[in-house]
Amino acid sequence: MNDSNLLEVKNLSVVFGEINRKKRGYKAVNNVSFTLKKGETLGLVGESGCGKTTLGRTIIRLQKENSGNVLLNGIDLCSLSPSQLRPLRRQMQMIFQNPYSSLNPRMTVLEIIAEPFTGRYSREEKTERVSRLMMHCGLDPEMMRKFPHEFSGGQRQRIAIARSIAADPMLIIADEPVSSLDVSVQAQILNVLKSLKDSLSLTMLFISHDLSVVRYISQRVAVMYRGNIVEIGKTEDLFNNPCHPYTKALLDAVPVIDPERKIYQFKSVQSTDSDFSENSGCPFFNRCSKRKDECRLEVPKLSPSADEEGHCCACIDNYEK
Amino acid sequence: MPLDIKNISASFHLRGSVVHAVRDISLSISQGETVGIVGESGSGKTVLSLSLLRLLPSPPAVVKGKALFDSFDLVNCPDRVIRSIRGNRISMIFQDPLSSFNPYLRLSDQLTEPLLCHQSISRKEALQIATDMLSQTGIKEPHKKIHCFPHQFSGGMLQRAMIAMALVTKPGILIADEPTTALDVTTQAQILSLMKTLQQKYSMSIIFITHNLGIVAGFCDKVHVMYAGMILESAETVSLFKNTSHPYTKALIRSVPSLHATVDKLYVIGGPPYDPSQPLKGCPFAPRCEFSVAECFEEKMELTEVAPNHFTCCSRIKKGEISL
Repeated sequence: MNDSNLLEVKNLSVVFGEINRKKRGYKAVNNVSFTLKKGETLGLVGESGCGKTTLGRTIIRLQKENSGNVLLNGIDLCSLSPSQLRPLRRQMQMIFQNPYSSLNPRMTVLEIIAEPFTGRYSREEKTERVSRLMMHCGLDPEMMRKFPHEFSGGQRQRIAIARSIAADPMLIIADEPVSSLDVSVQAQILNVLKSLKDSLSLTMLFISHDLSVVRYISQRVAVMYRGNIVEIGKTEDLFNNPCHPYTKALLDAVPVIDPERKIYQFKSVQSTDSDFSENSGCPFFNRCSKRKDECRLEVPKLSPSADEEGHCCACIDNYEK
Repeated sequence: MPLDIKNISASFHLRGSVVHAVRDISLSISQGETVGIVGESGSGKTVLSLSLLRLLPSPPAVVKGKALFDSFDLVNCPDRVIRSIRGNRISMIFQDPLSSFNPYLRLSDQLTEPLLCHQSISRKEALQIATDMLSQTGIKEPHKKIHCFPHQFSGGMLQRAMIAMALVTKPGILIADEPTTALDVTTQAQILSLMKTLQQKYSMSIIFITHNLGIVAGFCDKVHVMYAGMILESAETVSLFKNTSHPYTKALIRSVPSLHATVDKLYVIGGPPYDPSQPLKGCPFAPRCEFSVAECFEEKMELTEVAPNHFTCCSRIKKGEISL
């Protein structure tokens, strides 16, 4: 294993609703592999239901995998017993989408942020640390005795961020941390995350459905479709030179602030309604604008693209080049 | 059908305090036009649309002003009149399709309801019209699907059904309150293109309420930017984005991360959002504005024309003291 890889996900699969051999379950995550270097941010994009949240939850061990491995610093998290896993949980923290439901309404901000280091410090040290964390995240430390309901959505998300970095974790998984916020608040939170990332050299998996947000915060981006990573690469390469038809369609569909570009002329993706039929070939087959008969035969594997280093794409057109 | 909104204000009277959600808004919509209303949460854009259809609970809401639609004043007409217009000649699409349908009723019941209420028509004919409409929104096998319950549809399909429900009576005006916020980008693009096609087919006017500047840029003919219940800037779409003439609009545009370029640090609008329970003196955006001077906090703001059909209420822009 490469030393600089903090997180390594190998052939991870999660299946829901599989009761016995007769009833086939739904593959929420299908044979996903990727690595995350120390200090790097990987953006994970996809539509709702594509398995991006399940992938995040499986990495952090909130969800059991069906097959595959998750390696954090070379330790296989999937083979550990709960008691062996416990000390490692501190190293992985999560920021949730909805700051209204992810903070305990009966705890003060001080208790919420101090919870990850319970029992490690004296009361004075604890207050001292919490106020430092709050300042890092752009909150006034004077407010630490207040309750979550006294804060606005943006401030609550800052509290959630402060809590997630409280135990100096190795890995942060941010699951749509800005999608419930207004544009101006979203900009504030993104700046907080970015500056924390730079000053503490955090490693982050940033899950979002908003491509422009992902572009702003990540060094690398992975695109998921129905449980599969269909394209992964450096942010610049993926946005400037998308290989997979799905990535292209996603990029086309994002409304950009340009009055000359009419969003309603977008036509490149077919309707999703007929999309639930299983087939043995490419998962995107039913909606793809460039589909061919060969696409039906097998699931395309992620393979390196010709031009850029580390840019991989799972499309049959990509092998042929 | 044109709609002329004149000096509408809406306020909520709550235990002694008064919250002004909409302050003295005037705008007009001509036939076949798409008008966008953008603003952040709490800017009063939803309250404005609800007050047009008299859907606000009163009390505590108090709505004043006029909204002229085909010789009727929507705000002051009798209940009987507004009931004959609402859902018939003016329809609305709500943000969350999942919570806007009755989970106990089949779509067939819910889609035919506007027709059965407003037109003397048999159940069979109504079902026929509703099925046609559903197929126009791109749902396959509408004859089968119309007998489904809402939970059997995905979010995008339900939003299509909602559009079908709003359009069965062929309304002159469609009010769309964040119709695509709960949807994925690809579905969003499909729904928007569907709305555009149907708009051209029935020459409807659309009032499109959203917080997404990208959608406004690509979908609307005219844009009104709302903040603290006021319109701060209004212009034709191209003009608004090319010659932005209000610091708030500019700040909003700058705080959206770009899809096509890598930025080092996002622009952030400083200060806390506007508190609607505070009395308003001067410009509501002045405390957060980087260009504000002492008189911004004092002078009363009014929309004035700075270029043809381009209105702003920033006094410093008007006087030519600053340019963005």
